Amino acid sequence: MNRDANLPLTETTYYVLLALCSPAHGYIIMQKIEELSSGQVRLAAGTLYGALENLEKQKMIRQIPGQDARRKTYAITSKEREILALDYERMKYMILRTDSYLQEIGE
Amino acid sequence: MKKLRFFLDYEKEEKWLHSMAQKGWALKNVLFTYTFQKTPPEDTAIRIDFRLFKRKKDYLDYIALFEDSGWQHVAGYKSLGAHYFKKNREQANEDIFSDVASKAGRYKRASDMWLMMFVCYLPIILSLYISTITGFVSSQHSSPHHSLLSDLKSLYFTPDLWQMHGSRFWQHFLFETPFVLLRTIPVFLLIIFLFSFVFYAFRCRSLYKKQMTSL
Repeated sequence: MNRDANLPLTETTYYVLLALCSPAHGYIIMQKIEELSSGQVRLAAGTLYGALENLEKQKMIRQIPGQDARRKTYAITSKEREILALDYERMKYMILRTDSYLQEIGE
Repeated sequence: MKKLRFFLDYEKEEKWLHSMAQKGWALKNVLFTYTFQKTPPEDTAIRIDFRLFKRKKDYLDYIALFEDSGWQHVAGYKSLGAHYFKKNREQANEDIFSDVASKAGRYKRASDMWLMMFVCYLPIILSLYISTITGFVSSQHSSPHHSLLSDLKSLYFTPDLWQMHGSRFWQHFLFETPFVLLRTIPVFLLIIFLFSFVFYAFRCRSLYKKQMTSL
């Protein structure tokens, strides 16, 4: 299977990218991830800052002009939206296969 | 109140600052020494991050993110690396890091900084060393034997000092020694710094590896 080198995404990266499908700054991203994961993933400030810095370096996200002068607003890049979709498909396939296999062996 | 301490281990530093806060000493500033201010005893957590910033904009955004999430920046400078945060909201995360890898990352950044300091100071020492060597070569037409002792002897400028005897020798020797020390102390300090930087870099690297293997 010819897969993108960025796959699979880590849980943190996946949620950050998903949250950034609509542009946001750091704290909004943090809250959105907590909400999206029903409180299972609570990123702390230091961890999120490092993650955003890495993602920007890898050109997965980019800064866009925001209303807030002090806080940087980020958005996902179009290339990364594709990678997010690919990872989504990957996980969906895994779930599908798991279900059908477990049914097959009668679990 | 000011206190002089030096830590490489952030966990130990955080514990110490926490115990100071419990005794009613709130951290106000960290610049060579720790500055505290008397407050009512507080059981607040202090967490330390290490990050260097090139641009003011990045630094302000960084502080804003921590403050939005309930961690107040109490000490630290844009280009000095260590940043001290105090938890000021009950429902804030327990720590400023939520996974082991990012918590260990601060040691890696600190280690890189010490290594950078070493690399910056090395040329100064090397150029001093080379200039003394070449200096000796030109002044050593008479004695071809180059040794540490002759190096040290040549630090004294009194003419014919080493040919003198008895009290005359000691008088001149002891008179000039403080001047020799004054001239050489900066060099010794530089050498001590250089070795400390390497030691700190390795120590931070080993703290980083220790935390990463506990994953």
